[in-house]
Amino acid sequence: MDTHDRKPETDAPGFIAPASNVVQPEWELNTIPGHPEDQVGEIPEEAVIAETAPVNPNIKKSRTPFQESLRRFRRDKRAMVSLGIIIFMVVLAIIGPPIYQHIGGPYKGAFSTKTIGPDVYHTYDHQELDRTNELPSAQYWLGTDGIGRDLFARLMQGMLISIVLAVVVEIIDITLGISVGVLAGYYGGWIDQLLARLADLLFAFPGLLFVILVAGIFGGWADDTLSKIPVVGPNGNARLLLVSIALAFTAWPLMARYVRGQTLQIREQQFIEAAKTAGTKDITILTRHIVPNLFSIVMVASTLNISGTIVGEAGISFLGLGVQPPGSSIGLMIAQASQSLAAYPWELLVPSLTLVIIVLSFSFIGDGLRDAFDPHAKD
Amino acid sequence: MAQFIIKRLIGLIFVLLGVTFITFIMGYFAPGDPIQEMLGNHFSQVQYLRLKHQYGLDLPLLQQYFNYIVQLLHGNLGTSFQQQGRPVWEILSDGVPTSLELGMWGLLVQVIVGIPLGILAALKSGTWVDTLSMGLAIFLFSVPSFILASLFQVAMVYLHGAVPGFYWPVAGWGNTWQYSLSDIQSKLGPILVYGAIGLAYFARLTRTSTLEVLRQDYIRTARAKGLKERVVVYRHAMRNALIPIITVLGVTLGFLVTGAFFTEEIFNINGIGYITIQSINTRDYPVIQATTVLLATGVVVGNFLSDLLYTAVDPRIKVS
Repeated sequence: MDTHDRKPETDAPGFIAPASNVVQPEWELNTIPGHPEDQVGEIPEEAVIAETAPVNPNIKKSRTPFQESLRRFRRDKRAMVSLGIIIFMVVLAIIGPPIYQHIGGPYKGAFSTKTIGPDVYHTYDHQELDRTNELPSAQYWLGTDGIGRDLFARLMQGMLISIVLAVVVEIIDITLGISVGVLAGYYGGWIDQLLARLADLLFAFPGLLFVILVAGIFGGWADDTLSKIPVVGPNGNARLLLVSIALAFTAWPLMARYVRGQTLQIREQQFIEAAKTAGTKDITILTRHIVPNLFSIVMVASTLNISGTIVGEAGISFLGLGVQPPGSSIGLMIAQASQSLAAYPWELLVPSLTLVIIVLSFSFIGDGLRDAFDPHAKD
Repeated sequence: MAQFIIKRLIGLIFVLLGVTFITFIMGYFAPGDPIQEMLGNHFSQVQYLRLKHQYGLDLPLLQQYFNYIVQLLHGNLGTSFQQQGRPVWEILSDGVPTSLELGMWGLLVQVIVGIPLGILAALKSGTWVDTLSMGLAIFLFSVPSFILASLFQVAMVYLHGAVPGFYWPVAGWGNTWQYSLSDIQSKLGPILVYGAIGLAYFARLTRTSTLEVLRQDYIRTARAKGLKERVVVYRHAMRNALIPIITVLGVTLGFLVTGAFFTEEIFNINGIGYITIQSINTRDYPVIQATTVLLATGVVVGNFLSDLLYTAVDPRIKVS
């Protein structure tokens, strides 16, 4: 067994390596008991085949388990549509606002002496006080809210907030979850005990209780202190950082538990034993042989976690403990709209529907990934 | 069994200690000086120190925590900062029965609607009944409770305008544990919204577990014996299919607590969740600490009980 032929020392070890695996399928999911050694020799051959002749879809042997899973995922229509929606939303939230601010002619409000362009009235915090509670029009694509702010601009900003939050939370969640989970699963002992106790403790804080506590107690402090960080800025987004850290803090023990379970399984496999026999250092075994094999479980768990995270932030902002005005967040939009829901249900419908679509999409993607990467799934 | 219970009880005590420590430390390091806030702008140093001493806030951290735990064990939750001198327990005593009532009805809705829905979907799996009920479940599971509540209110207000003579209250709780017509009207909305999310969870889980059981050999045997389908389903399949549901009763407690925050806030119900949000807004830390400890204790004890029930119901499970 030639576990050393890839000269692991030349590669930088990294805990968040899984992402790079997409293009390096040779490590993927070699968890089939008894066949780990196939993985190493198989790849160059297949690469040659792929270059010289078109791959026959009937020959299953020519695919790695990873490609097999990816193929299953691509065939899942529901998941692919959801993925398309999410990609569309991400693109819209990032490049939408600058484009939107260039669309439309000059405008002079009844209460204003100045003529303003779309770069002003299409921003998410500009108020046009004589244009409140409007339905969609050519000027305001989704109408305006109770104090004359553009709903479309606010919605895009809210989606951006959700995306930033999801990314921050998942980075912390995955980093902590993998490092603690792998160490607990591989070494056991006190770190395993610590993880178990910590998980018990955090599970005692049901749902959002911990996040509500943190956001509620330290929210004012965050407004003062964290808003001095240049990237965060004073736009009411300071608490978002606090909320995301709190959300990640409640999420990672679950991730660590999944990772720990998977690590326990991988640890008993022959290729780990072979690596040990060959004198591979522990750190190399962990980073090169175990962490890459966690890719699928981490991906599924974090995707399924994202919808909970986004709803969590919306809920916290809804309660008035998250993003502060004049900042925008989907939860904040819902809260503001629900004050006048009887007269202007449209303003409630827009952010609610967006949130529901985001949540459903992430659930479908997560389900699809789970079905595709579950080794027991039938083709 | 006894050993298992004792072991779990010890673990439970440590978890609760951890919970109290976390909530205590948060209150300790919370920004602002509560004593100064209580006294307003004009006060003497003597007054300040006296009040600080009265609340025990001049002691070192660990001693404060120790005192807190001792008081907690005596059933004393401390005194409110905002409503000076008023015991926290008195403030909570308004909210606890209301929240308990809401929680009980919510759980009941989840169980008596969610489980049959899941069974139905499993028995008719692959048909339109399955698709429809599971579609509904996924929808309810994905729509956050604060949206569901708002939608309910929109619908009621709309009906009020559209149908002459139609009136349905969209806020308040009526009288606790009383069921006159107007009480029921007030309570129905919050309960349905509150139960909806857990309902979806129950339905999906019941469906999966029923399908799993229906695939087992002993079901095939029962059918081969020529038993009626009804007997096979209710006598043989259901008993085993419902066992996993017991384990998730603990999980649904989490839904109940989180749901309480939103349901009570939106419907203006004076329960534990509402009181917590109020005291967060007024920075009344003793009340926040008390509600947190109370809710966490409820969840931990609930989980423990559902574990016990689980091992008691299924003789196949060996306690380790």
